[in-house]
Amino acid sequence: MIRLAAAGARPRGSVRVPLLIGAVAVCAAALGSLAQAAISITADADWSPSVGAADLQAGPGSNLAALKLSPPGHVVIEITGTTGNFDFWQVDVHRVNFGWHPSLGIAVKRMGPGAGPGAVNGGLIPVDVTLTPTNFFSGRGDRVAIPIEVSINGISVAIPPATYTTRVVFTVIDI
Amino acid sequence: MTLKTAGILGLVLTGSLLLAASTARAANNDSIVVNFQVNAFSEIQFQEASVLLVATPPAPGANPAPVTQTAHYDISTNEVGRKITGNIDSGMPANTALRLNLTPPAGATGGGNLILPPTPGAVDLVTNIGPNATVGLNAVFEFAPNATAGVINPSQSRTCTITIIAQ
Repeated sequence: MIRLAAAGARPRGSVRVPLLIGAVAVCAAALGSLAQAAISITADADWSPSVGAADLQAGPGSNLAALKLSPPGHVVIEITGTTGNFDFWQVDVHRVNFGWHPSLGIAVKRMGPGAGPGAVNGGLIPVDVTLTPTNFFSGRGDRVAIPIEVSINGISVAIPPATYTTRVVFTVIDI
Repeated sequence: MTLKTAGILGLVLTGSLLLAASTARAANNDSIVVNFQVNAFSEIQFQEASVLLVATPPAPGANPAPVTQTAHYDISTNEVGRKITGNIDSGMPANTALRLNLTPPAGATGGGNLILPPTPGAVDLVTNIGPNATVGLNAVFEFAPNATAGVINPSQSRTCTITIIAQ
């Protein structure tokens, strides 16, 4: 009896609080949803290199050059939709293989700052692209035309003739 | 609104803002596709432009001793099941032979000291070649006349061609 009386004797304010919690939570979720939809990354373009006899380091008797680099300016990244120059973000990178040779590696490197009101940091040393997301570089605010060099390593005559495909995924995370 | 209620609301508001900040860790991704094409190739070359083989007159009643010269060849291939064939551009004088013995690259099989036939014929000098890049393998030429060949004058030349092809 004592317990029931106590439960039924709540102050009026204690009834309003759950309603307010619900309203504020809805607002918070809406804010979060808006923020999630805002920041965006674009990476261009696909890259289709090839190697053959012309890539032998010193003609017959020599091996293939172990490294193949994407042409300057071929791959660029763009970060847009930030809330301003104090909206910080980071870019992670990983790959999804579609018939990739296990002896071949992929790396990415940032070759310049790009343009725009924000700023970028890091990524100036090649980062191995594995199946697990790895931090590539970071920055703040909108930034476009960030030049990226993609490289394939581990090339040799031991790689059988074929076409090997992988997808390099860049993910921007608002932090 | 009591003081206690206001306090609870303050906590709720703070919590909600933290929740908003937390859900603001948005992520978005894009990707590029890398298609890496490895073309098939098999390359071979002699290092030397020519070799000179001089047979000296034998002792009376004996056959001339074969003479040899070692050249070198280089090979690069990313294919499997290749072989090296060899021939010369025209036939040798009667009672003489020109042989070639190629040291095989790792994993391949050498055919030994084999007579080079004139084109369009060809002899298999090395078989079972797989992916490798090897420089400076021995290519030993042997000129073997016998006494019945007589004097070959003036000196003659032959062009030897080695080719790497599918076996």
